[in-house]
Amino acid sequence: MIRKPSPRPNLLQGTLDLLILHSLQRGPLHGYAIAQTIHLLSNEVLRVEEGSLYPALYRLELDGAITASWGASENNRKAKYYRITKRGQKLLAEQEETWNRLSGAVARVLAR
Amino acid sequence: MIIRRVLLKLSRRRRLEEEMKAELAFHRDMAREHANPIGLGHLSGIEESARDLWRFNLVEDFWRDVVYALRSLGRSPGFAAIAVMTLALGIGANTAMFTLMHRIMLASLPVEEPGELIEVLGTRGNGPPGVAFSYAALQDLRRGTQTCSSILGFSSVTFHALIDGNPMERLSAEFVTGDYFSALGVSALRGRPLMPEDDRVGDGTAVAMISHSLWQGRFGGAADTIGKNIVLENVPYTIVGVAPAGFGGVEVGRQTDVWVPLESERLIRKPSRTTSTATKWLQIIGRLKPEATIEQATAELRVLYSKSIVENDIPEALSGPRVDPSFIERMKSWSLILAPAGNGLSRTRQQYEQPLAVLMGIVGVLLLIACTNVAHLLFARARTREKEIAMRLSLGAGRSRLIRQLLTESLVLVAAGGLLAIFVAYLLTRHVTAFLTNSLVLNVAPNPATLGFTAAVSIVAAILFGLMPALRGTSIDFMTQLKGGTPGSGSTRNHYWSSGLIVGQVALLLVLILGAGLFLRTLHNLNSIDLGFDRSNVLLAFVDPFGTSHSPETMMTLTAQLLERIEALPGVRSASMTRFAPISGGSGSNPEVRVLRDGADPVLVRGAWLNNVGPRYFATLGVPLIAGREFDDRDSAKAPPVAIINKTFAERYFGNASPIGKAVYLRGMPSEIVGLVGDSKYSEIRETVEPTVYGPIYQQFGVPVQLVIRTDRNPEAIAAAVRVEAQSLIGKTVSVRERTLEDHIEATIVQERLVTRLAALFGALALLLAVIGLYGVVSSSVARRTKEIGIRIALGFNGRSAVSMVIREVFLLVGAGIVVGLPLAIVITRSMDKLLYGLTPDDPLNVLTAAAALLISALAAAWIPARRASRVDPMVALRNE
Repeated sequence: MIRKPSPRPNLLQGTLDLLILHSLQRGPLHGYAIAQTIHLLSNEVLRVEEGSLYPALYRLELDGAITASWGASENNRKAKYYRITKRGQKLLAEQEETWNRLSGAVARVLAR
Repeated sequence: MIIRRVLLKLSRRRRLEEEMKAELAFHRDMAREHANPIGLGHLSGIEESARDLWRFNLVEDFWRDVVYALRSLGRSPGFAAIAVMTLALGIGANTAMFTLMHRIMLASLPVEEPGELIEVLGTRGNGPPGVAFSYAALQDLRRGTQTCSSILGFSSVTFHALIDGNPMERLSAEFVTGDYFSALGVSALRGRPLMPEDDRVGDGTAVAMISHSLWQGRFGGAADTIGKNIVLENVPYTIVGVAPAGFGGVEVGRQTDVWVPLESERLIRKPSRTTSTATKWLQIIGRLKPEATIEQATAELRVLYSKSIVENDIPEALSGPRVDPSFIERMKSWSLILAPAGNGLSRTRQQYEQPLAVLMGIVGVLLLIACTNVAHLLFARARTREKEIAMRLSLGAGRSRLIRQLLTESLVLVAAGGLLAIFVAYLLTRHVTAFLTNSLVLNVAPNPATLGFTAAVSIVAAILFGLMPALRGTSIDFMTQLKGGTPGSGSTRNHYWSSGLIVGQVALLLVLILGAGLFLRTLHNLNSIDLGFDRSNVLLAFVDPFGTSHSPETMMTLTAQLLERIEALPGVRSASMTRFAPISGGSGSNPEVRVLRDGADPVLVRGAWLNNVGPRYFATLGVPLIAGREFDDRDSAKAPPVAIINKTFAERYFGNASPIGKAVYLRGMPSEIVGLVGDSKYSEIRETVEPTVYGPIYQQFGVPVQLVIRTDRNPEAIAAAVRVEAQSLIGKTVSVRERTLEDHIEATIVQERLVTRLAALFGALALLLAVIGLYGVVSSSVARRTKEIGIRIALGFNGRSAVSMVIREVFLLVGAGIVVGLPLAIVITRSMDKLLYGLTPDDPLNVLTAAAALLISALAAAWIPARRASRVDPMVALRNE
């Protein structure tokens, strides 16, 4: 049975998946780095709480969108690195498209 | 995806927890190093939600759903009880019919490689295939075959038996060829089976194999049964073996009690049937060699059979006293066909095939109706739970989760219904087998096949009735609901669904009721056939002196005395006797009967029946005496032979002239016709009356005799007195079987009665279910429209208009159902044509009655809700908002 990722009750959660997948596009990152990347790339606007981040990561992993493996961090500590999968790429493309359409629509409404 | 998740969860759950702790620790360390304010959040919260994600929650959720379903069903026990009972009836009826069908049509015989067994059937011209062959034909097939590893002959008989010198009920027995058990692959449970060496007449002793049930019932399962003697028709047999439980021969529905070697028939019957090819008395089955096909065997056996006819049958016929050249010519065209026999012989299957198919269809429809009813109930329940469901949806419950929960509820219902159904099926099959007890012996205990069927039907039922309400029930707009809509206000679509279900249900119901009506009318027609005699208040007593040592002459005197004593009993009007009771399936003979007409050669009377009856026989039965006299004591064995003929005989062979004083020739002997009686049915109730000749019983006396006793009260009341008289006069060991003539006749249409009874029972059940369903739908429709009705009443609509509004709605639904159902019913009932008597499937009166019955039932169902609608208080209804 193929299960589509179920629609999340709030926008933020869906967006978080999008942001995580996007930040993993450039290469494997550990959880802290993902949070940092999102924080920095958003010009320090978005803050990802660990309370949201890790459940989202585990869920994406279970969905097969990302895989995890242990590796050494930049300061030589053991850290869990997440890597985007093919399925994740596809999911990212879909979500990006949805997001673009949505934000574009909102923007157009606000422009009038 | 699901599988992947489950595997991940199972294999990695513990490790994942540890990894999570390490990962979170790393995260916090990093944050601290960077002096970063991110994080330091709610560790426990993360763990909690992560664990939720990882848990192997299918099983756990399922259990939680089951418990939830039980609790929620427990809160509405009325709903649960009705739903479970409805399902139990629907599924149980199906299981019961399937059990019968399985036993009769599908189950393999308990023998080795049943697929290799074939049955040999004789064909003569266009008639239905016959099952009986002569001894010579059997031997020729046995000797000549190359395609069959063995060919077996057997003949079913009923034996008088003595065990330890005590007479017992007659046993159902089979003469079998010596290789019967070895070829079937049936071994003995105790002792040894019959063997080819047993199948010869040596010094006049013979051996027998007994059934498991006879062993248990008559010998108490004792180990020393082997070697005991059993006397069958005055011939002593030594018991050598006990057949395994469950083996009762190769004929479905017949339990053979004892098997004896075919050759021992010569010891019992004098003259033996083995000596004449004209006597066709053996059934033949064969076992194909693994490499042979049924076509090859057919071709081979046909050649052997034709040769056997040319070598045996035709010479024998030519040597007879009268040779009929056209008959000799026809004999040359006799042939045979083979039928697979792995499920038992075809006769029982053919006999029950159509009634079973019809009944299976009926219970299928009943189940559909039961399912729609439970779907109604679930819809209604979903309506009352809309708020609860809306609340849970809005709190973030996934729709799939809710659907799963609702389906679990259906599953719990159907599981309970299915378990109860096994019990219902048991009662039903027991009822049916008790009904058929004289014609069919079946083991209907639940077995893996029937239980599997029950489970399959239950699952299909659960999907049928459960899925739709679950889907519809959860697709509600929870905002509207939560904004305080009245219960049911958002469920117009559900109402359409219910209406659609009602229309479908009525259509199905019409099919059932039409069918049941056809069967009821058929039975009525059968029961009101003019038999030519009065069947009420007549007792038949079958007196069998086996076990007493009286000669036939003594028995004749004793029987005459017995009749006198019986006539003296209070309540007895008259008593007589006969060789063959009326409607005994044509027992008696089709003898050679000729009549002399004006000097010409005697003319053969075609299809004549011959019976021997005692004095006052016709008066006792109520057959009118048209001319002449009945037999009386003058017509003794020494008196000149006399005869009485029926009206059909007289009209066909004597025209308008009086037959009295003329002669009929019975086997060449002239008998003077002394009486003319009215026509009466002879062999079975549907026949057209054939010419019938009666002779005096004293001139052709034989045992056992049938006493015919007319009473002026319930004939069963004198049965005990008759038995006492018979025992005191003839001897303690005389066997007397009494039954009323009505029972005797009813037993000949047992299959029709059974089908009618079940069809009527299931039809009534279906009607009841449909009325309940309709009541539920109309009630909830009225509840839904309380406001509308309130407004209408406030605007001057009176109570009566409210009633007619509801009734109109019901009529519309039922009318639509009838319109949809009628063509369906006509097509379906057309297939039952062969089972009907005296009417056609599209009988207009029957159609009208069925439609009227439906409308009246619908009215009854709608009445209470309609009254409720008329009593709507506009103030209350409007304040509700």
